[in-house]
Amino acid sequence: MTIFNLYIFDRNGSCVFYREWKREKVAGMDRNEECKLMFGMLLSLRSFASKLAPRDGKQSVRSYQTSTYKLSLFDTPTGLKFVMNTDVTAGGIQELLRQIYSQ
Amino acid sequence: MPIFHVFVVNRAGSLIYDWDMAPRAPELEKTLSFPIDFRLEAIDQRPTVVFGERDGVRVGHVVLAVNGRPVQTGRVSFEGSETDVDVLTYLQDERNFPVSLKFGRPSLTTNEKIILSSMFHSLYAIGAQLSPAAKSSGIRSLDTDQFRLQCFQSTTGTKFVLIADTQSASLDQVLRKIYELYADFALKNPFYSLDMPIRCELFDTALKSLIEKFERSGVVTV
Repeated sequence: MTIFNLYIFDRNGSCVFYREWKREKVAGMDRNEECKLMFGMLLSLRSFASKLAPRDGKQSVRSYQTSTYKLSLFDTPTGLKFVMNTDVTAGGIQELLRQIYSQ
Repeated sequence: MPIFHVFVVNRAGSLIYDWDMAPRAPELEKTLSFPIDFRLEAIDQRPTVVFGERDGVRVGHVVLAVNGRPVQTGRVSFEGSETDVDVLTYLQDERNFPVSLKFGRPSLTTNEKIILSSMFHSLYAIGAQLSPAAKSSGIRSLDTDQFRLQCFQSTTGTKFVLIADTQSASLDQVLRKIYELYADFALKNPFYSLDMPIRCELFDTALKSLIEKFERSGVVTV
């Protein structure tokens, strides 16, 4: 199990914390741009998912997975976003993010 | 294991096929007096409840009909009048009360499906761009509280997207089977032109029976 990196966004969309542990590929842009792109994508992902939701009630994106990584997302009620990229086999990331939030 | 939607998106990001089996929520008819207890706002040209959940009407429900007349793009026309009126302005006027409103969850219109599939097309690309690991594909599966989305991209760039219940397993196999059906019944159809909307009866029936079989037994026979 590998953890690639962790982003924490405040409710205005600025990246308040970034740490990377193992990163094989850097996106062709600076850190600031990358954070903006990440936050923008999460926002559109959320509106995308809420339109597709089959039922009433709570609807939030938990994670998505590609062939090489898995992105887990934890939203707090105050609008903070914890985003962690891990490899696809990693489990229990939601709990880990919750724990990071509680500390 | 219910499947709610199947979308086929071509390599340019436009929707070429959709199959919709999303559950329909019951519609509620209410007779209301002035002023109404709900706070309504126009979201996507539809009068949507944004505050004041009560009696089964939830936030996110839209007004489907006013006095039995259907609402279209936020406007309603009444018998005997030429012009249609905006629902929100109509409900501001005390003289129009009591009024009977029908509430319900909005179902996806074809227009919205087209928007959603091109939106997914770009999210897929951004997902690959933001990857911390080398040589990543785009979004393959997306887990949310209410559904799971699984996407399979063929080598030519056509995307097959499946939206199903969160507990569903082996969705990838279903997608591969749908790809097979697409190759067999759409691509081999002499009247089908590439990247254009799929209108093939055989594809429809084969997809329907595949999904019915999967929903019943939870397995796909390849």
